[in-house]
Amino acid sequence: MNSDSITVAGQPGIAGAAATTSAIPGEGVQTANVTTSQVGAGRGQRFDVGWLFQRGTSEGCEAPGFDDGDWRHVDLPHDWSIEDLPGALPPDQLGPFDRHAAGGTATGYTVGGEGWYRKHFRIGALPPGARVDVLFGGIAVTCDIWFNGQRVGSHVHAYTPFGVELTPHLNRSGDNVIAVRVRNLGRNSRWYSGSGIYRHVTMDVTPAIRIARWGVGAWTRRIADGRAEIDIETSIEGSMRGQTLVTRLLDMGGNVAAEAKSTVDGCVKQTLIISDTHLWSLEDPHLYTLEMAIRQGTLIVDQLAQPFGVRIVTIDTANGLRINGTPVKLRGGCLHHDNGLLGACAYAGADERRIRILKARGFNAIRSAHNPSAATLRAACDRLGMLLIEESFDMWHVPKEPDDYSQFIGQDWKSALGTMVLSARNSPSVVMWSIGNEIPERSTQEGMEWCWKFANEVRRLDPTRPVTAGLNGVLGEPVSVSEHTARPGCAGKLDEASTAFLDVVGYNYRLEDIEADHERRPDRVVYGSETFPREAFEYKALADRAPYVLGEFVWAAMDYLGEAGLGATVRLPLDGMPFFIAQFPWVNAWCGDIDLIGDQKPQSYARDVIWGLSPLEVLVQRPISDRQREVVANWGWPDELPSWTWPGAEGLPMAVRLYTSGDRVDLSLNGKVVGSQALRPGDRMRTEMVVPYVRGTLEAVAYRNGAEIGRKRLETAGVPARHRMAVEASTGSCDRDALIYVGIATVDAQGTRVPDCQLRIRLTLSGPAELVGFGTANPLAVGSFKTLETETFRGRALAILRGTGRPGLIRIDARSDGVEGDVLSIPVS
Amino acid sequence: MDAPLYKPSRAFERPVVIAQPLNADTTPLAVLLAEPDARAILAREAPVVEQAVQGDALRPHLSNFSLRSLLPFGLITLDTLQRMDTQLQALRQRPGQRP
Repeated sequence: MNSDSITVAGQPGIAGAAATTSAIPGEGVQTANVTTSQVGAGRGQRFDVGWLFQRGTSEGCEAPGFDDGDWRHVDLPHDWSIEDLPGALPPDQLGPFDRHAAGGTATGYTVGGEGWYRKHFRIGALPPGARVDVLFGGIAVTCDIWFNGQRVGSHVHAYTPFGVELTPHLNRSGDNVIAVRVRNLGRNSRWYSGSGIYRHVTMDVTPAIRIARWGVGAWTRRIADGRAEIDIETSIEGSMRGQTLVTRLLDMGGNVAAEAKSTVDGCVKQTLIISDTHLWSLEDPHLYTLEMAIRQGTLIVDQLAQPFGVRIVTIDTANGLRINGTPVKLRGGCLHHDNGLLGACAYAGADERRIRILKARGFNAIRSAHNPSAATLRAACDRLGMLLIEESFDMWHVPKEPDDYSQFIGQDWKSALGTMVLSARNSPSVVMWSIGNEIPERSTQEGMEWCWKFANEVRRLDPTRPVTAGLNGVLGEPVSVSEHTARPGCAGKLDEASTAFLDVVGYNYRLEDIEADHERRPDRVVYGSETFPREAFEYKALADRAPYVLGEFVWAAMDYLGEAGLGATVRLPLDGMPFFIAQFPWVNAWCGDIDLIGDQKPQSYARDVIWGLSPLEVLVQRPISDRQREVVANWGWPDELPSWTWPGAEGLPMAVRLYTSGDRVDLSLNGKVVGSQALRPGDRMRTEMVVPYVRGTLEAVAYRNGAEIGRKRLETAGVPARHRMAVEASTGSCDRDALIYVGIATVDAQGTRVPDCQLRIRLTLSGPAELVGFGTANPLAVGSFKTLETETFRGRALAILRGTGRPGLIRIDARSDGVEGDVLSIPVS
Repeated sequence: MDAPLYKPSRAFERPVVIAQPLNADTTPLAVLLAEPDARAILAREAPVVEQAVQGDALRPHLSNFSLRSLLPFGLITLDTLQRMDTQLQALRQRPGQRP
């Protein structure tokens, strides 16, 4: 993502400071059988609109003259695995889910296969030497690309961006056709990957001399007394004859905060010095604009601009992680790439929504598990103040699934690491590069060599951030590394096979080992790279007392598709085995603090208290028969809800769990005190009281040192009376990239949400919007995410609308049998 | 305040591995399975684990686990763990460097 603009030499030039942004005329022009776009000069031109798509295998689709007249029109991002299966037959096929899907629980019973995309476009008049590239943000899982019938590229890493050059085969006067074959075959992923061109696509039309793709590396080297020194290295391609590279840092008002000019060379090194620096931090994620321009006299030959945050991150055992000298404990979550009901589609608005939701719950860091994140997510982290660990691989050479990326890594690792690092290195949010997650062979001799290769390559590309990895199990045998091979200062020191080449060590599920390991390896900086939700209190306490512990990343921050039932909480017969293996129709992991549509799950309420967002939360355990037991997976949480609506449980003893930062909590039911509990440090901010269920009002009050610090009330809801719709913060834009989230809750006559309500619900939608997702957080498949009908889960549903590019009034109506509907009008312009 | 640098090193030379006695706490399952005597202990005392680690589905995930690190996942009991640890430590010391 950048806001690049360009004036190509040979076209009207700009004498002076600013360049114009090139127009992108004609997107979506209809011809007889195709959608033809007209593309002009410029970087970062949207290339998402007007693609044609066919699901399935076909012959000859790469040919320019192939008849694609009956193909479906799609605008990117697009993921066919989240669309309904053609001709789906319940009960084994429900919406996009298929009991017999190759990926099984791993991919949430979704179906991959092969799909083809084609796009027709015409190119405007371009000067000689101009170069045309298409940049794909990500294609899942593998792809091959043809342009005007010539094969121009292929890609095997589902999560790294890549470009293909079209110039040699460009038809400058007629129709151009780009064809992309995408395959998602076999068992290739441990989670839902999605299928298709699921991230944004842009086109760069650049002049003969240009700034290389991801060719700018900027790094804040020193900050002192409000003054910052920023080192910048710029790679330039093409024939150089007396051009000047002008690099500027612009403040939010567009004023020049610093400027450097250099004669253009293949690699230009510059330093910008700014005073009164407005630093980037989590609380104040201030972004400058870093603008680079190649000038020939007064003509701007090439130009690009990107956000840049001035900050220095340091990490050491004595002080942990500090941003600009201020200590920050990582309150992190692991995050897969999917956007819930939207599948893998990386809409900017959807990625930003996830970061906003997590930030509101106190998270300050994301581990992009287990792949590089989308540029849209990273941009949201930069803008909103969220730290990010970018991760390259879930496996190296030993497969975790039979058809996974391990078959490609031997040839692809340099490309994968290169694109991950170079495309993200200027993001202030990125604090570490991870070279792997739970790599099976990491402690073998061969594994150590690959670990060194990967880590060293990352340091070569970007020596400004530490290298890390997520390590489960044990760390391998002690090793000693020579001076040639060791990290600086580590030669000859004892380390472990898994950690010798890591700057910061991620421990997956190894809470008990951290302090013991510190006794043996006091120079090691660690963090919980994956943690169980139930350990939130322990990690908070550990990070607070141990400076060498950076914090934790809970698995997972948000629910995701695939790894179905990983966090399942189920009821099993008392006389049976206490094990549960999830199968169809389980389709999501059900282990996030936040559910698939963005609402809090019980562990999130508990975390609110532990992280200091709330002084008191009240959850009630769902009653269970005396012939059953509740079995909670390691990644799960007991089935407790912030609810006092338990029809059928009248008179039954109810376990009321109270999470509080207070030292005492009182509980009353319908105005009568039913219990009071003192909390001691060993209680881990949690206590429990048992109260017979009676309809009415359950109220808890928390105290510290005798003073009230919090009060929570749960009201018994009546029968479902109506639906209530609400639009989440909307930009009001009708743009094709704009999403509108409409939450739907089923409430009683008094407006209290009915927490366990499951009702069929139908939408009617009119106006300039397209429904791109409609569903719930239900971890079990119930049907489509793409039709106007669903079944509420726990009294909620979510509709996601996409602008059509036309202004107007969107009208959405939600109805069910037996309850009053609701209607919303949403103006967009 | 100066920013830190994490510089690449010059070349790869094999690290010297200091082989440790087999035990339940720190020896990875992959190593136990590669040692016939240790594998026999595993097969005798925890056959479910021994079989699970052979399977394509779990082998990649469990190969870095020690017996103790299986405890939180309920795949082994503390009693069994201690019994196996005693037997593993009684095996003769592995000589030299692990290949």
